[in-house]
Amino acid sequence: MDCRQALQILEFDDLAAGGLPAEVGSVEDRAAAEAHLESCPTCARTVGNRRELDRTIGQVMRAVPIPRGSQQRLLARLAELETADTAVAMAADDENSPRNGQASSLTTTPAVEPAQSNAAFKSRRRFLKVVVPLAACLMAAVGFFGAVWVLIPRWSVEDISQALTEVDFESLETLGNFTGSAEAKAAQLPFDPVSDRLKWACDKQAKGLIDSNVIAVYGFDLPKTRRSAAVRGLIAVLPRSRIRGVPAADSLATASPTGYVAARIGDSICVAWQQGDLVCVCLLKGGPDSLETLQSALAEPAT
Amino acid sequence: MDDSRSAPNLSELARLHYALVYRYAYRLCGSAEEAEDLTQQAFLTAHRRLHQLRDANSAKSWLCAILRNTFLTRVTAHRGVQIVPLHGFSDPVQEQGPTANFDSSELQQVLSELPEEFRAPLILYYFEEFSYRQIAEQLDVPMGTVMSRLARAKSHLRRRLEALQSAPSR
Repeated sequence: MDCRQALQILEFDDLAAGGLPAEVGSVEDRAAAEAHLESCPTCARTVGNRRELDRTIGQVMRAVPIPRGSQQRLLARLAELETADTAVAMAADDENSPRNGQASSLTTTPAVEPAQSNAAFKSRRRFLKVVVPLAACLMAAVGFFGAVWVLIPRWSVEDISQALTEVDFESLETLGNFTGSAEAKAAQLPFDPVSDRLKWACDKQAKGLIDSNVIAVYGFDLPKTRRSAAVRGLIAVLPRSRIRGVPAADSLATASPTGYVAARIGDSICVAWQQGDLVCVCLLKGGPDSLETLQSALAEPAT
Repeated sequence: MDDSRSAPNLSELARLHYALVYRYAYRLCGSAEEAEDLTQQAFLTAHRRLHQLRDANSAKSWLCAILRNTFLTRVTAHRGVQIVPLHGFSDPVQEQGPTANFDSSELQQVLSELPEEFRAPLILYYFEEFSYRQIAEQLDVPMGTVMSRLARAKSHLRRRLEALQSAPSR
């Protein structure tokens, strides 16, 4: 090891706060540099001078007099700030306390450290900055959808059947094709409809449904057979979310008459059933016999 | 303060570390009045950012870093510090070294000539309060950069002190 290498390695002291980093050289390098000093009086003198100078520089560097009262002035200023922070934190606690109006817990527990209170308050403030907007958004969303839920018009089975009384097969033909709910369109009806239409000019209560394009209306006409009479009727299909009082029956085969009505297709009987997320309301021309006929026809195996 | 998990109390930190922070400020700026102002400003900044201090054991480095940033902000605003570049300086190999006969103001004069990036690690080194790694972390530079700057700054310091002592005016 030459003089330059040795002096470079020995430039740095082993600081009391930590060991020498690897950047200075390995332990072996440092040992070799120290060994170099044994054989090189010039380097030994240089290193000795450096170390002496470093000690002196360190002493002078650290010997900075502190102005009288400067630390006390800072501490007083910090105390003011911490007191203010504590007051703000306590006020926030009072405002946020669910036991507001009762004895404050701060009066019965040891005083918190101001900086701890300050840190806790700031942490709580950051937390609130995140949570409050989220809660507000959530409440707004709940409010919006709640309002929508409340404002969406709903009808009873009786409303729908009453609307169907105003329909006949001719008026069906004057209406546009149904373009609304795909589920209503694809409903597995118990028979092939004669036509499917969306709107009909009828009951005012059902107008909202009609305009919102959520209900499909079918007309059907089962021809007379050797074993059964002809059956004619109308069927309305709509989402169950739009019905107040979903019918208990889950198929036409088990549905019971809900009442008799005078309809444009003639005196009719009304039946309703649920079908998945849909509700079907059927208006059958005739009385209970028509329903029995229809149910019997549907129960027969297809030929 | 031995529990690094507990929330630090800034007043307690000020009692413990005020002298170190003030001396660092003084050696950086060279003025007692400005050093007190810088120190107070640094602690006020620390008060606002206390939630950022996770480990009370690192409070000393944290405060010094805030102090230095406060100083740099002022220097950037005023550009009042005269500096001399250290480019071209090389480590002396066979320097004789000055005799240890200089005072605080002469040391401060030489320090003030140094660019801040050399002055700060030099001050922290001679304070003997931090490890090399802590100095590097505090200055946010690699360890190798700290060692390089320290070597060059120490060399410059020795040369300038020697020159000051050999000057006829002295």
